[in-house]
Amino acid sequence: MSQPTPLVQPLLLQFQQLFFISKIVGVLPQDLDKFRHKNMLEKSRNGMFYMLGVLSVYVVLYNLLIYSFGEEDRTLKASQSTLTFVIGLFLTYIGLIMMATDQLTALFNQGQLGELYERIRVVDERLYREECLLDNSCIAKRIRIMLIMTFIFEISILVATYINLVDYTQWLSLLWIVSAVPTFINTLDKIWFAVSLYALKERFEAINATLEDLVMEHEKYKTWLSGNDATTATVGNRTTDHPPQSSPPPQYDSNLEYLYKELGGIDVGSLRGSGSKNRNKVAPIAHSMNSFGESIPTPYKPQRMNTNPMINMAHESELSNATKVEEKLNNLCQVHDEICEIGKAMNGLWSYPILSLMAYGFLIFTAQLYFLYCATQFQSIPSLFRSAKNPFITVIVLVYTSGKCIYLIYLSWKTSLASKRTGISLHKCGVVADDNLLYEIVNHLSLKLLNHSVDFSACGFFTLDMETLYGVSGGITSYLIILIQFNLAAQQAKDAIQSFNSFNDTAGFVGAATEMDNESSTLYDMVTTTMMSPTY
Amino acid sequence: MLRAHRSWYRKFVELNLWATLYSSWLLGLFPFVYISRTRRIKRSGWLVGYGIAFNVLLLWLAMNYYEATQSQAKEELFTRNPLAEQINVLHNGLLLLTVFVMYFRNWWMSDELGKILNVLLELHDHHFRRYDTSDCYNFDNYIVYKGVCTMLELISIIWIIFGLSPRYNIGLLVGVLSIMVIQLGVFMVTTHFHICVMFVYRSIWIINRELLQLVNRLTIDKQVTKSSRIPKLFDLYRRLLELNRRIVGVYDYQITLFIVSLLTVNVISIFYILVYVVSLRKAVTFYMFLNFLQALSINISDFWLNIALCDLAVSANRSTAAILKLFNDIPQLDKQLERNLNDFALFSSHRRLTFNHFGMFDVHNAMGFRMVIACTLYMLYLVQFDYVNLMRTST
Amino acid sequence: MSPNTWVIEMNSHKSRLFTHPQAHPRSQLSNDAFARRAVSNDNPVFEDISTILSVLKASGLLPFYEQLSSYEVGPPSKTNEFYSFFVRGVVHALTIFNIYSLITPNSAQLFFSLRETDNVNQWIELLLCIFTYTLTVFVCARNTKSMLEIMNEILKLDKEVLRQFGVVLSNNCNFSVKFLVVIVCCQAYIMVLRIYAVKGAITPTSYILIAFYAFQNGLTATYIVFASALLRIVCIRFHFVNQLLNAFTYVQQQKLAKKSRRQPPVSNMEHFPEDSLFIYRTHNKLLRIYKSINECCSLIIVCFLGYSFYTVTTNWYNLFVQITNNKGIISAHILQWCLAWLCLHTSLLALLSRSCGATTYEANSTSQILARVYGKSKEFQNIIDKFLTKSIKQEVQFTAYGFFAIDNSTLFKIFSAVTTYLVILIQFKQLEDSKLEEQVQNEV
Repeated sequence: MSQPTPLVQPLLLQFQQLFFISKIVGVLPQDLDKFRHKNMLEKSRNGMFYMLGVLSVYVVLYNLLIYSFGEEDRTLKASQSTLTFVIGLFLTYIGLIMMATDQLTALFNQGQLGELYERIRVVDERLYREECLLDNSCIAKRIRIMLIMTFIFEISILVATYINLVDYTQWLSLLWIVSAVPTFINTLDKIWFAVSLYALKERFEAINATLEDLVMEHEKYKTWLSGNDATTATVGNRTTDHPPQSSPPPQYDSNLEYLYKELGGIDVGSLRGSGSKNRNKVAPIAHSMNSFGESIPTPYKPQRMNTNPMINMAHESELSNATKVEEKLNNLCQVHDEICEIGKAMNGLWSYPILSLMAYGFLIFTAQLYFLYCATQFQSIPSLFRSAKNPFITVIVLVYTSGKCIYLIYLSWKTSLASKRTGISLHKCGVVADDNLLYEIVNHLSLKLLNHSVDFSACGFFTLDMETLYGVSGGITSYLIILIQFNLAAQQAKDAIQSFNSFNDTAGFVGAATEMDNESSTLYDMVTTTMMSPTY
Repeated sequence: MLRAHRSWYRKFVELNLWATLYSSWLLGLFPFVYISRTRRIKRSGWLVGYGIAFNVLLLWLAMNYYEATQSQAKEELFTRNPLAEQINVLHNGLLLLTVFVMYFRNWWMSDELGKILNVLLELHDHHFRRYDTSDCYNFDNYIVYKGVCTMLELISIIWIIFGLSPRYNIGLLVGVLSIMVIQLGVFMVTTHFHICVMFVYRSIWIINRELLQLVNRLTIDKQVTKSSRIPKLFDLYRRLLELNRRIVGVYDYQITLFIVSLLTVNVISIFYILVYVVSLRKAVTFYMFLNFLQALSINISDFWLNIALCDLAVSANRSTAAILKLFNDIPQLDKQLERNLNDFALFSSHRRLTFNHFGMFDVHNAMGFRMVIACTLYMLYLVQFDYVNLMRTST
Repeated sequence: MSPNTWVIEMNSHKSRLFTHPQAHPRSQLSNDAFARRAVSNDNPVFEDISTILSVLKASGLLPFYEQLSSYEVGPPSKTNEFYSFFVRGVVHALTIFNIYSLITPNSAQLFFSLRETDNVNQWIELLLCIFTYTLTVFVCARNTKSMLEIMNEILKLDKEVLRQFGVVLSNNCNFSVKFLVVIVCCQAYIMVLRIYAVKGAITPTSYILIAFYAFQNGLTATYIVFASALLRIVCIRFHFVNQLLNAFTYVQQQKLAKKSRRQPPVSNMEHFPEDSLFIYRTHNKLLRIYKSINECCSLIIVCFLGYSFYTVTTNWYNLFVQITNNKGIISAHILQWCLAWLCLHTSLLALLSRSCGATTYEANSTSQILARVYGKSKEFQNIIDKFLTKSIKQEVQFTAYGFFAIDNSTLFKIFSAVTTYLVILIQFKQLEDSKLEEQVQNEV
């Protein structure tokens, strides 16, 4: 499929560093050589074996970690009933489960991931042909920032916990490093998803910006026309400021502004600004050096017309030519559909990892806060959650975990908003052009746009938008309250029984019994919350 | 034979409507007089005054004789379970509030109601009268259901109060009678809403039928490609939606409070029975069980009637949109007709018939289901909250 | 009142379509997995689900319809009708007998559990099962005609598809037989477990109770499988329509253009106006069938969902109690019993929600696919707009009597509700236990 002279830089070019790291750590199995030379993700059998090997090593090490650090929990374990034990195991292993989900999904999807990026490349080419330019360079920057953030978080958590809370006189304590592996791998995988999603969002925004550009050009064209018509050409400045017909009818504009506000608080002013910024944007091909230092041939220099719009020359507006613009709008609409399809496919590829991430985030967030409470009350907590003993480390852990989840949700929400906003931009074209034929075209296309849907969901159980975030945070709060209440009640009951039976031999037994019951139910609640919260 | 049966049924429906009208007049809840010359109704100040005087008297009577209507079993129950007493006080407050708000809103909004009824009358006279509505079975059924439900509620009150307290005296009689009349007033107000909605429903039903007939004619007869009826139907549809919005606006306090009080009555009565059985350790006789069951089932059916009524209208409205889809099949349509159809379809997909109370919730089956679930949960919470009290054995 | 109440005659329309040339280049259609070319005329209708149909017919839930031709079924003959009537009467008589023996102490030996709440649970479960089955029988008896109508509509649609495209739509309902086997196995296993659990000699009344209970459960479950099979059949038709439409989308058109680059470009767009008419009509018909199925089954489905919700909750609760009891003895009998129930109900719920979800998805994706068709001329755009305008904000849903929509997320919602109730139940149990402890301490 690779053409000798690519029109556009493939998106994957920006993923070089990320791919290296993911390849080494074992997040992606694809072929390294092919990626270096052709910027393509291809299936590779060796990569698969390497990844499986890495996965099994991680699993073994993690179990070793649990075993060696579980010594302190032995006493706790002896008094636990089977179910409590199972739930405790679940809480311990959720990180491992999440990592395994990520890696196995990556293994199964290794062919489709490449196809996905190939589809994005085709979309880029089509966009390029429509003179809709994309700047991929910020994606590389984003990836770098995310990687640095990940390293900072992981290392600070690891080092702080190791120094403060782990007994580092034993050499076995070095195993503690393994405890950071699942979250690190998970974050790398999610960076892939987040950045690809961001790229999709940029494409949607590029389409919107192109449509807005059309509108602005047409406005200028109209101004120019009216300026020509005016017999007193001396006050050109005034005519441009207050053109009698040039700006769209004010009531339409205010309507649209209202719509923008509804669609996620983007005000029109900033959009216009972005529209004009696009004017100065450099074509992606101008960054023709990829990070390996190999240059990519630049076959085509895009020329930008109308770089200085204030010159009183013959303006051209595409919108005045309905038949010509129909082709363009049709193409943009098709590309929009294709991007929506890519978004759906991407969501499908990452649906299980996202579900597991959300479950993990919810459980760990609640558990960490609960154990923080327990630690302040000088109660014993599981050894793997020892970071909860220090409030400062807890804050870092919480920020890290919630940051991952919230960023993904926020980005998915923004992307689907950007896709929906295309309809508004399209409508602006129809309003500005004031042409019956064009208006019909716009009507037809906006009906189509209405049926392009991209909603990101975790396996269809819940959609990733701000509403879900609100529900989840509500769920966390209420369950935390329930847990702490139970804990308080259990403490009170224990105290009461101990004071009542202080002379009785059975005191210890009864106390243990109540605690056991209570603990089982609290842990039970925690597990069930993950299932319940998203529905409400 | 079926036809004869139908005609009797129709007569029964008409009887229900007449009974509603006359009893509302009698209770002073319907302060309008019909002027047959202009075919309009007019608000009459005399009727308003009569209604206010009559109902204030009733309330005074009911307050005065409230003590007499309290049964012994209830008192015993309250001494046993103080929470039940508190709940009872709250509940009585709610019921009183319901009655006050209902009557007050009824007089306050009577001007608007009169206008709405006039519009409804006009629509009926000018547009819908000539259509045959004898096979709109749902209309008849729902009117009858509501009438029967109201009757059953009244009978159930009598049965419960006289069944629980065998001490007959004049105070009890007057108290029960006044309470019953107040209740009847409340039911009458809801019945007015019910009948208004049923008329809207029937109008939409007629529109649907007209549209379907048009589709059928267009598909069968290929020569016909034009029809001028669509704009008229569209206009009617729009007016109906607007009218419905106004009706709901007039009645939203009344209906919401009515539904809430029905639901609380159900929750509380189940709680009472539990307290009675579990903590008083009294065996429930078959008679009492039957008593309880009939009250519960009548309450639930009345509640569900309120929900089902709205759902019926909503689903009729939904099928309007579905019927408009059928026009897709027809290959050659007149340009004008096509445009009208598109307008109609867009309008009907963007503006639906909804029974939105205060902008907070829409009433339909799903909402009713959620309400029932919420009530079940509340009952569980109540039981759990009062578990210690409930389980304390009466030693 | 719904569009279903009026059957729309489309005779003239059909005749027009009949003249439509059949020699379309539609190779891509007949290659589909669900379509096969073999046409044999004397096949019994719905042979994929014939097993389940015969079970339901024998138990009086479905009429013994007459097969008039390979694309039409007629009402049952008098004797067959009488048979169904008779079977239903027997079932109702048995139900009344069962309720009677549940009230009288005849059945006491079936309720042997130590905890009182368990017995109450079993009672409620039995009553719910009886109620569900009785309701199923009643609703089926009332809906005999509309069931036949649905079948006839589906067959008519098949006939038209065959005439237009020479394609016989297969039904892909092999799952029904598998589920039948699962149901029978589970019920038989539960029956055996029950009989073994009873201490002492079993009275014939108990035998009848157990057997009839299993019978009721099995038939209700079978009916649910039948509903899912019907939904699957509709789903496949929707899918066929979508495939037809998919051939006109711009992606497919581009592919075609690429293939025939050397030859003069052949576009099949010229068939679009005629085909779109067929597609719209079929879509409308399918929607109508879908809605009628919903109306026929929704009451039964609501009841079944309630019943299985209750069963799943109590069984999870029992499992929980078994695992966490302090004695450390886990009764293998109760474990097996619970697992059998859970397996049966979970699989049925999954089947139902999946088939509903798939059908809803296919029905709703038609407009999405149509949005990908780009017509060059004004006429084509009008055809597309006509459909899209009328399907704005009109999501098709399979609802459980309007209470909630059944789709893929229903299973998730049911299980989240189950966990909520479990938490409440477990809290009750803890309160009960703590009270017991208090009493013990007071006595000490």
